[in-house]
Amino acid sequence: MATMAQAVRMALHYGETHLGVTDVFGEDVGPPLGGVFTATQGLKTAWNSPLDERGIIGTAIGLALAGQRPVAEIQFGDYIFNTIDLLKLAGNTCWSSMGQYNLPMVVTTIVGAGIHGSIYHSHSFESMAAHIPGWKIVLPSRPIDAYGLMISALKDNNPTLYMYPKALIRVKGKDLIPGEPADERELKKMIDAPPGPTLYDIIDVRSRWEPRWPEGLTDYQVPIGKARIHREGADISVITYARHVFMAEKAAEILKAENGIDVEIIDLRTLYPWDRETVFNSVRKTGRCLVLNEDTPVCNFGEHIFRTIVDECFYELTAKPRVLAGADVPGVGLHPAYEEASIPQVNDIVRELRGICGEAP
Amino acid sequence: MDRTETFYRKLSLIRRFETHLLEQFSWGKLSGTTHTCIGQEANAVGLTAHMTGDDVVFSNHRCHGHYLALTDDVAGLLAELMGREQGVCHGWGGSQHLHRDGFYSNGIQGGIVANAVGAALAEKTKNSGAVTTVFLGDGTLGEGIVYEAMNLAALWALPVLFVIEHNGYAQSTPTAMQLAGEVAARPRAFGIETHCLASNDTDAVYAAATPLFDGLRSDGKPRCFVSFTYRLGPHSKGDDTRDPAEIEAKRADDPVLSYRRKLPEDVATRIDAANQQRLVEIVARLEQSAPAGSQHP
Repeated sequence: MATMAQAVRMALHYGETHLGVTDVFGEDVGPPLGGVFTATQGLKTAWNSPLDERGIIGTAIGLALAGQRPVAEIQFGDYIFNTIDLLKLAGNTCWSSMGQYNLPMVVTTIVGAGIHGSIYHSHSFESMAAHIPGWKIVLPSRPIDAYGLMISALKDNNPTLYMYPKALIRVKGKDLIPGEPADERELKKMIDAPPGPTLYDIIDVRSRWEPRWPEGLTDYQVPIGKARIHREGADISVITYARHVFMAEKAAEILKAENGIDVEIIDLRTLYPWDRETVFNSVRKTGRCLVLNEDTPVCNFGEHIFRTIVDECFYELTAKPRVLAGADVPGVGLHPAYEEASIPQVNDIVRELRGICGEAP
Repeated sequence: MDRTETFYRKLSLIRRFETHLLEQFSWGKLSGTTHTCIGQEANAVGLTAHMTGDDVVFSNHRCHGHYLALTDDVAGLLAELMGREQGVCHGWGGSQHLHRDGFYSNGIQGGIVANAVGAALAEKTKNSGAVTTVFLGDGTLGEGIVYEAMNLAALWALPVLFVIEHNGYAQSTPTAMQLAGEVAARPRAFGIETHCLASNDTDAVYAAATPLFDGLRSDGKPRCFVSFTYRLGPHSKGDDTRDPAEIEAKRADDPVLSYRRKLPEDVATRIDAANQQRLVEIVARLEQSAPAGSQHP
């Protein structure tokens, strides 16, 4: 099955051949590298910008105002902070022009910890992003959702912030993307640029390389704003996204085996507009919930979900809901032990779930 | 020890250190990321030789050479990269986040340039006579804040030395694909006196920087030094996409090997051996002091 990097690449290829995408750009996005995480490798429309994040976002806004559908990449989510004035501008353009000017642009960036990247390769951005009205915000956890959300984002007339988790970028999916060859080795041969025999041969090999895109790719869409139930359960709901979907899954297995507790996991997939109905239905069913993510805890996006659950489902709750977020520290430290201490781990999730389930109603 | 020997000792030390790092990463013994300065050592050594105790340095993601040339703190830097308690910053930040005695580094492109302006303003207010040097690359010239910082430094007449280490690439992107116009015209547009040098010879760098530091220390106004150099190693590690023939041709101008020829063979060999011995001892000491389980610093 495709990895998330391959899924994004295939969706962007579909975009440049069927959806009118003419420019996929950013730092190291074009050949020969095709993106630090290879998500833009082999694309016809991919090109390299200077190291200039504000130039990248500003240019995307201009292209979108002119009616194009640009895809602009910020190489790491950690580098997007200096563009925040332009993100605000993009978010308010439709509103301030009384709906006359849409901005059909997609900004992609990779977020979160998981590669021991220390302070500037580990940051989350979703809580900051959610403070910028006017954007749709997605953050998939599975390759198939990465594909389907990218297609939806490319078709959307609003600016979409398309984040994807570093920790999952090279993880293979369990579901075949429509049109993807069933044999993953075949897919790799078709769309992954070959590495050179040695480090320094890459350019020579790649200058002669062209991808063979799968022919049957479709406009398979995952609607923006629709969560999915990753695991059904009766006793407690975990509302999460990105890498913590799978960490919650591990915690759920432990709780099932050791405590007989049946955990339901909701993968939000879209953070704005988020799927209130699916979340409320789950919480009303279980009566308990944990909101889980790895961003820093103060003004954490999960606090907004928590507050909304309290507003809407208060009388159906049988235990106090909790938020489990990253540590209240300014960065993620280099050493794996520091990183683990900054980001909720499976044991932390187990502890919180047991704590909530142990409360008397 | 005369200056030639001192310079070579530093050049050889930096090269050994950086080579050791890339090996450690390739063996999976270091995690995260790093950016080595292999091929650019001459700037680090030639420029820091002008600095005194009060001077301030802001460096970037490619900061190991600057740090080692200035502080000689091999053990602290290596421990930092290993995420260890003995590191410069106790292993929190790693390669790109060194803070010690007026030396600061940060990998975010451009941001540090404005920080250097603030530091220089503080030194000017204190009347300390200190020079603040900020190292940036040609890739960083894409960031608008570089020009905001140059404007402020010139406007407020601050003793900042902007050092542009022009290695021809912004990560994997060649300069021709990302910069318009002349590099030196940019600082000059703000009235900043600018010197260019296309040499990997540490003595030439040292000599070229002499009038810049003299000027900075006498009138306190900003200067810019543009050094045309070349990165012989990858941007980070395993991500080199340049033409191998181009890299090979540049090896003829290797700043460490070229400088070595200025010394008698026995002297150069002795310096190499001493550096190697020192590095080996530091590596061994750090390995011995690894806490039980070794997953924890």
